Parts: sequence; C-alpha cells; structure tokens
Amino acid sequence: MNLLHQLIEIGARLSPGGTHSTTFDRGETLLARVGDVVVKAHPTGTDPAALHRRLATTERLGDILLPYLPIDGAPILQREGRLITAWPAGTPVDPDEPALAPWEQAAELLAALHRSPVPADLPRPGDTARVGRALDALPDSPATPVIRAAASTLPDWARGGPITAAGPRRALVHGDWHLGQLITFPELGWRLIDIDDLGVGDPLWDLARPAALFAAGIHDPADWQRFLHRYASLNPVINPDDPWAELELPARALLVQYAATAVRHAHRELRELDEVEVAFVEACQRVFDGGRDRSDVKSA
Amino acid sequence: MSQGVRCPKCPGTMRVYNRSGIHIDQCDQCRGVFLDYGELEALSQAEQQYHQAAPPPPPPPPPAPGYAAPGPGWGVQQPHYSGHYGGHHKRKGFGHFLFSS
Repeated sequence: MNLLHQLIEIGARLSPGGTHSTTFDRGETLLARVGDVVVKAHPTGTDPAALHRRLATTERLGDILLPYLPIDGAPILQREGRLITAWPAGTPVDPDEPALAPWEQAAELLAALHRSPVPADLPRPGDTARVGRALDALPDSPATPVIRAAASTLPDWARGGPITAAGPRRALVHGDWHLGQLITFPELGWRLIDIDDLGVGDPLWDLARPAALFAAGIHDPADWQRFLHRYASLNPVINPDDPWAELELPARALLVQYAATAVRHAHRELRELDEVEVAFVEACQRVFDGGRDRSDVKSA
Repeated sequence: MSQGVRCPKCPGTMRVYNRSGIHIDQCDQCRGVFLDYGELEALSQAEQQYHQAAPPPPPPPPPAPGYAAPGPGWGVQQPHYSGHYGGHHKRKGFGHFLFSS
C-alpha cells in the first residue's frame, strides 16, 4: 500500500463514512482529505521530538492554532518512513477572491500567537531554513541568475546559514505564515494551521511574508496597511508607519524564497512563469540593482 | 500727484497710497482712483508676474489609506500602485502557489 493509500485509510477511520475528496501533493508534504479530516505526511527527515512539541503547542493554544486529531490515541503515526498527523478539515481563504481575505482576523491571530508565552522547549522556527532550501532547489532557468544575484545581497544567516546571535525579539512564531495558513470553521472561526516550522524566533519574519508580497506588487497596499496597523495595534513590535527599517531584510529574503520557489514550480510543470511569478523575478532584479552599492552586502 | 489735490469728480481730496511700490491716488470721498503715467503698466506687469509665479504647492493630501504605503527600495514604485501595467497586479486571484509556499 503506497503512502497516499495509507493516508486515505487513516482518514477513513477518523471520519467514518467520509470519502477521499482531495489530494495535495506539495512536494515535501502529502495531504489527503477524507470526509472532514485531513491526513498529512510530513516531510522526510522531520524530527519526531520537535513535531511532538509543536503538536503539544497546538493543544495549549487551541484558540489560535488548530489542534491536531489523535490517531488511535497517538499524536503521530509512522507510515512508509514518514511521520503522519491528522487534522480537522476547515475552509481555507479563497485564493480567487482576494477582496474577501480576512486580513483583520489574520492580524489578530498572528499577534495573539506572537504574544503567547514563549515555550522553553521549541526549536528555532523554519523561516530562514526555508529560504536556504528554496535556493538549494533552484533549477537553471533564465531567471536563475537574477534570483541568485538578489540572494547574494543577503547575509548568510538569512538564507539558511547558522544563526550565531539571538535577535532582539524572541517570540513563538509560525515560521511559514501566509494567508494560506488560515482556515475557518463555522463554530470556531479562524485558526492557524501547518505547524511544521513553528518555533521561537523573530516575529517580524512572520510579518515579512505579506510584506514581501506587498512590495512585489501582489498584495493590495490597502490590505497590507490594514493588516499591518491591526497587527501593530495588538503587538507593538513594529512601527506601522515606518516598518521597512525592520522588515526590509526579512522581506528581501522571503522575496528570494518566493522567486526561487516560483521558478522551481514552473520548471517542474514545464511552463513559463505566470504574472505573479514574473513580479517576483522583477523585484529580485530591483534588489540586485539597488544592492550593488549597498555597504551591508554580505555583512551578517 | 501730491497730497491736497482735489478729486476731478467730486469735492473730495486725493490721498496717496503705496501698494507694492506703486503710488495710487484715491479720493477720500468717492474712492475714485487716479493712476500716474506708467502706473497702469506697472500694475499689469505685477498682475502677470502674479499669475506666472508657481503658486505655493499645497500641502500634500494625507495619503488615502494604503495607497501611498511606502515600501522598500526594491518595491513596486508608487505611481504604479493604482494597478496599471507594471504596478500592483490587479488579477482575479492571489496566485495559487502563494498558498503552499
């Protein structure tokens, strides 16, 4: 029985009578929805102890993070060498309806997460490591030199290198926060999902993903301002009227990650870059144009 | 004209006023005005200069929420924020892969 069938079988046990409706193959991660349950195979190499601690955090912060569903009484199963977890299936933000995106609720959940007690037992978040992985997986393409040039303006630690000094801000952070990480339930409202990168780190890196998307021209400026001001009103770790001194570096790193990921997707699907993906590459070009004279290049 | 001169239209007395370097003789009763030689031209010139001079720039209006949001140096430039080509990308959706970074 292959991995997908294993996930469907587990889902059918947790959601009796439910049928397998959707499969999400996200490269590193495989998910299957069965009835009102989503079963997830975590990336190869996921640390089970760290995943246990992250799952326990969802139980502790159930008003913010979606709590997992135990499988046969256990938080994690192992199948085909992969760690398996199960989750209630909710309704995600509709990617085709940006105007309906719940920016205020998103800001409220993220601020609540960042203001929650900092757990002693969580590892670093996966944010900077994801930048490094995206660059490692960047295939050759016409856009690749531009993306690598933009990446060369980043300090090593911001693209997955070792972090030698603790930053000025320390909080429980999501590590891969974006609008796709919100789902809603009729009785509960919105919750954050996908805790694979949860950890103790700099909360501004969670803000920097929407910041990068705004700066690249993807998110509407009014939405970005609404989100940023709502967040800062609840967790004043950033000045919403002058955020870029703090956000520029993480947003630049995540722009590079977005661009590298976009090229990898297009390459895998044997297609040209779409409009959004081109916007990332264009922004990388501007990073490089502006970064050639910058004195902080490569300083870490 | 000097002070003490009679108004040509009424029994009033002409008074001299200095307005921006131009002498204006005005009757203290009927308010009639007499201009010396060249004073009309001086007034016309002053009027032209007034209209040609760039008016003081009005204070910039407070930005509409969001639409003048500053960004990093590499961000999409402000004139594009209204959604024209090359600026903020007005499209139907967010771009699906953004939801699965």
